[in-house]
Amino acid sequence: MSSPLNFDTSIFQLPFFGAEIEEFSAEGPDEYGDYTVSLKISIENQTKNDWSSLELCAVVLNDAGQQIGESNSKEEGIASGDSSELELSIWRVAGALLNGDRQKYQALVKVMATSPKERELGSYSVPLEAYEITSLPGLEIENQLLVIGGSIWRAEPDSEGDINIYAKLSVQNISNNRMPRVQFVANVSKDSEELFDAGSTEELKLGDIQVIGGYGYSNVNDLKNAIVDCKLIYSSLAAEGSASITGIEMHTTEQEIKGEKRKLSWPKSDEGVDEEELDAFENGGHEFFIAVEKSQRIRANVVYEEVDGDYVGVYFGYEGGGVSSDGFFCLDSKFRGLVAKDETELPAKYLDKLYELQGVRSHFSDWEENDDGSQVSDFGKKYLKNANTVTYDNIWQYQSDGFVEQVLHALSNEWSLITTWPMPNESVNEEELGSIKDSKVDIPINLKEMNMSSKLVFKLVVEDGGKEVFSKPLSYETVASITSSYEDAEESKDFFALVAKHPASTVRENVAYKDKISEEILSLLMTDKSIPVLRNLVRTEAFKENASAADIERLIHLDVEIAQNIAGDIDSYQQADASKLCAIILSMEDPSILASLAGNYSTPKKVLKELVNHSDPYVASEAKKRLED
Amino acid sequence: MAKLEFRLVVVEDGKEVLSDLLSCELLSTIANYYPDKASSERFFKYASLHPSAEVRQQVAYKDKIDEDSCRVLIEDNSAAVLKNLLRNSVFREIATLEIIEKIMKRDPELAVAVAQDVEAFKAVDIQNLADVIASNSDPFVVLALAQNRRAPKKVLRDLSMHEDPLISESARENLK
Repeated sequence: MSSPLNFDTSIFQLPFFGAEIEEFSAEGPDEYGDYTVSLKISIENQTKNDWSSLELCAVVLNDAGQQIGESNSKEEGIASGDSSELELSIWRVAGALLNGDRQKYQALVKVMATSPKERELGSYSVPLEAYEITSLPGLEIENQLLVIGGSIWRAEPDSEGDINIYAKLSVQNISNNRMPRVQFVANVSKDSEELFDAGSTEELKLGDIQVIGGYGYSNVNDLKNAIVDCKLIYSSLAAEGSASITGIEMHTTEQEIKGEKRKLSWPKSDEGVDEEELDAFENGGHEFFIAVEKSQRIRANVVYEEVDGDYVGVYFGYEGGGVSSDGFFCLDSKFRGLVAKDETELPAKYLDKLYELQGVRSHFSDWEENDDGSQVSDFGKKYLKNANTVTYDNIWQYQSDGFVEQVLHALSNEWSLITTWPMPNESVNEEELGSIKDSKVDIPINLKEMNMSSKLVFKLVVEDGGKEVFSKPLSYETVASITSSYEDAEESKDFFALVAKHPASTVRENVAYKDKISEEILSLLMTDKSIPVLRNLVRTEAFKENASAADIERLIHLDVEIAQNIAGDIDSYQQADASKLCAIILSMEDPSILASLAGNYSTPKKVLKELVNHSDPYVASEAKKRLED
Repeated sequence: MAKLEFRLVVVEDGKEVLSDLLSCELLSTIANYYPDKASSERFFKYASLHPSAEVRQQVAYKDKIDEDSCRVLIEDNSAAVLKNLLRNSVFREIATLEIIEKIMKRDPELAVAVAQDVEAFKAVDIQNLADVIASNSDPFVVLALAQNRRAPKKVLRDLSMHEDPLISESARENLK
């Protein structure tokens, strides 16, 4: 659909100049699911006049020609014959508004250029007496500005002997255009030495009348025989230009992928919250556990049902680094079994039940507040009022009457989420609970760490002359930062081996991008349950040198971004046949993966020739470009 | 105090499996991420004695250092440490005019930082401090004061007559 907006026409009859939008891209999402749209615009001043300023209006239109974002800005002017490149950002464009056909998205920009003009208004003596007024005469300037009148006067000296000098001018815009800048200059000087400027600057819209001016001060001696030089400097619209571009380039961060996945697998509950719903929920045959942070973020939420002696369920929780995660499980009567991100890895007979429980679990998430479901819903808060446990770090918990705690224990062994809450059977006593509710407990730095794993503790120790004077466990965040800064060298292997076992995925993410990890660490990380860990891992030298074809194929099918990375670096995996990897990727449906393969300079010509005929125009054009290169 | 050593120790199943001396870079990272709260005072105290200025810089930034650590850092020979210290809330509570003057003499950049925050030092009379800054021989230091909207009016009036045109203009603008 063509755009109803058109910036080409003008009511001002001004000279038109060329502008070009060189880049039109969106980056995001941020934690609220919003994107920042960026425009790079080049403008050349081909007129004979210098421009003192530029005013820009940019709008973004979706594939239906509807406006979804806008920006107004003022920029510095451009001298005659010069050119300039400007960058405009349009903030907080909702991700949902960018889901259309991105090749049809449009950006339009209108640019108004202004040129400065000056008019001397004469020189006047500074009045000799307080409140003796010197009048400024009326004047019409080129059918643009009407000076109605003005005055200059002095006040009484203040306690320190300083005297304020006031200068005011009444001005009306009588032109056909808005005047972005009208400056009344009232320079007070003595013997050619400037003392101060008592003037000021205003914007005058069409027909506006305004009093422009201000005051300055000096001492009585300086003001003796001083004069005021007055002039008006005004800028008027001098030229206009416009530009447009079609097709937005998306720079998508990891959050969107997670968000989109969740939207597919975690349908939003449209039902309201009432007591009947709560009752029905209680008697639904399932059991549940929920832990919520003070910030209303869900730390953990598990819903299961006992089916034929098995515990079949779904879980959701905070993984660290701003990311929440979800998954499925099926445990036998001894609480052994499968915990998986992909429900199809679980027995097929339970699939319907898993989807049903997913719907149950979604009641606890506020999908309006955050589309990844990480914030607790009003429904969930009803249970939190009766929370039976609160942890040291102020996480409220509730579990249904029949909830079997061993399920949680079994999950925490398999689950990569940050399980910083004590298990229900480790809950604090009433006395502790009271003091925690009063928030008077100073949380020890080691608490998160202590709960994260009972097996592995990272400590900071200070020794003074060989004697230990300080020892405290480090939080997972600090260990993650240390890992990131740790030298990527052979000597670091021992440390890397330990952090690779750290229960916090953010820590493992940081070791997963080190090139100098041993084959043993590589094997461990290749089975990691965290997708971000695996995404980092596939980029490392160690992975490229040692990963088997089977491992690579498994990871290609695990995650789109991993598949994109591998497709974009197809000839780097030394233990795999590149042509076989190409065949696997060619069999995938997601065009973004094929686009990575088509954009790869190392992709075999035969594969590129096949991709040239792909139905997705972007994949085809990438392949064509590579063939032409 | 004898020689301090900072170590990263990893304990697995109750058994120490790694004990590495921390490089100054890693300790700086730890200090940076260490929570700025009262219970961290002891760590900040030791870190303020670390030979690396990079580490001490991170400590100087923390508001929850104790007064002793703050006094140790006041004597620091690194301008970067002192610059962070000027923003420290403990320092701003206890710094006397003598201490601030001494820091200003160390480096013009530090003097500029003081001039930009002339009102922040609670143990010092703002007028006295502003007078000291206004008499600084470096015009950039004086300019920072002339541009400070919270500078005393009396000093700004004096500066509006300053021989350096940018300083006088800034002071006049500031007085409007």
